[in-house]
Amino acid sequence: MPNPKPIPNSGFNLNSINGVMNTILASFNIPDTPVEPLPPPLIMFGAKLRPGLSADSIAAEIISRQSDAGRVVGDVFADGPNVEEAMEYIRVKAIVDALLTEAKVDVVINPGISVMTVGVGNLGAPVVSQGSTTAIGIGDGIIR
Amino acid sequence: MAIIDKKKKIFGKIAAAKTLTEGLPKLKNSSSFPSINNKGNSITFLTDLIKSLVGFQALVSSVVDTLIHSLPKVERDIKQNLKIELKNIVSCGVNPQLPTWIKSSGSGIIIEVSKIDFIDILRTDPNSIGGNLIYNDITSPLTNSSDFNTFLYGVIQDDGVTYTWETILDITFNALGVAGVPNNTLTIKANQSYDNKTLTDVNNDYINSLSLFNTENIVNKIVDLIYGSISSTIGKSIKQLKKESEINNVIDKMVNNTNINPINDSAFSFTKEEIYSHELDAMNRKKGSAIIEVGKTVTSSVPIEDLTTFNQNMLSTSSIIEKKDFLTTNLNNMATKSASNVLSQMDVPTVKVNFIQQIINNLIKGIISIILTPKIILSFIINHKIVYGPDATFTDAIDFIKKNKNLTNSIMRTISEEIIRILMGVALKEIASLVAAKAIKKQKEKAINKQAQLQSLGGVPSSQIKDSLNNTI
Repeated sequence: MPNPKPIPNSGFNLNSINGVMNTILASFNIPDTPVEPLPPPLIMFGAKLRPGLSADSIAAEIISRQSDAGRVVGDVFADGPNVEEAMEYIRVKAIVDALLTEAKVDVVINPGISVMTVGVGNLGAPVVSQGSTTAIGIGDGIIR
Repeated sequence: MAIIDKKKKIFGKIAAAKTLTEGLPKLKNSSSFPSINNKGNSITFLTDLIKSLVGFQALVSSVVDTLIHSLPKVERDIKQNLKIELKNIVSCGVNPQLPTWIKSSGSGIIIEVSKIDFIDILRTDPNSIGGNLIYNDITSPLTNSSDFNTFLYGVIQDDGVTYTWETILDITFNALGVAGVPNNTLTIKANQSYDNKTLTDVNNDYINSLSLFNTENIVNKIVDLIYGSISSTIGKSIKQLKKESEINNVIDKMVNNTNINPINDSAFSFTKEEIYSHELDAMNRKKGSAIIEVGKTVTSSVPIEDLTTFNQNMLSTSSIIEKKDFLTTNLNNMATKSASNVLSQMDVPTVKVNFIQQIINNLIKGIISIILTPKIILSFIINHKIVYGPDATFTDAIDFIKKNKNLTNSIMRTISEEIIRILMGVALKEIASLVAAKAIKKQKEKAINKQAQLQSLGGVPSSQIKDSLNNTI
């Protein structure tokens, strides 16, 4: 008797569990649009008003909103303090500490910023001059 | 990535998307989802997936679609597989011409009834309550039936009289054996009209003449496989029910097989745990019940009267729309009945969903059990005897599956392709809605975040911005 057709083990063939799962996993993929940039002048002035990250504030915000997700708030159990809340603080503190002490922002300024400079002419040779940009430089940064 | 990890990843994505779009996920992926394992059964996995996405009614619609719209195609494909497999047996080394001893003037092929009736169907009278749910086209006399099993039951009631099936086969039942021939045998010859035709002609025309199954047969069979509703009424023995449990175990192994090659012969022997499970299953079916776990162990059953009502409803109409309605209503009723012993009302929806899930998960077993009845076994045993000699036979259903693994595999694939096609359609449609909702939510989130950052940079106090953000989530 002839051998049966082999069952494919991958790809999108619905004869195999892997094919079924690959098809389903692929259906979750949708292209993501890039975030819109903020107006540079607003960043230039508004960033100065920022208070900076605080683990205490973030943990307090999360703990105060625990009940929204159906979790118990406060020391309601007979076995002592609510360790879940303490854990929440430890978690947030670790993340904020890492951001404050380990994170690095790499910024790239796009070329093409207008610059006005002042210097003495040097008959076609390079000129040493002093100046400043006339427009806000726009750059892209990534946090690492 | 291991199958179980991929399955968990999919359920995780659904839980995440549902949490983002609707709130917290409502189902746990532990005991609620039996398919979270390394087995390769796509159908169980998809039913779990649909259960987590939409729940009861979507599963009912999937069953109804499969059982009403897909059966004709499944039957056509299975018949094609049967013909190919029969042709393969014949082409293995015999003259394609019909052997003289099988022709109308020959002595014929002698087959013991027990060797074609592995699941004891012919012990039940078609006119009994249970028989009404097993046989089709129950006519008077039974030998006028268009269903071969019903026809054969009629032949067996008339010792020594020859009846002709669709001008293809002449069949005579002999209760008493003579000259070394055992008792209760069938003598089968090709009808005179086939004397000048080939064995392949007989095979193809015989398979074409059969009606394999209908919606009612399959639902009856599956409910019986799960709850023993019919078996307990017709008094099947524990021994017979154990045999059926063994067949189901082998089919499960074949369905769960993820290897490229078909399962090897070791799958046809059983471990101590499997044997214990067969005994337990047989005992429960003998009692007409199944054991379900909903925190506590509860006995669940679907009374035979529900199946009788369902069959009467379905036979009362030829309209597809009405049949769909009847099937939906009766499945709902049976699901409710299966949950009648559950103590907490909170568990009722879970048991009802599980009932429908079991119907889908047992579709392959139900259809193969119907195929393992005399109408199909007869044609294989005739060809087997022609090729391997008059003494050649199949010892039981397991032996038949073992010797026809390719056939069983191709039938299983035909059925699962149809079920998977329907289930995938439902699953992908629901995932698409979920993913679309998630994408809209994400776009909204980006816009809200931008607004919040603009306000923050403009000097609006962060507490005020947070309040407004919390109100928008």
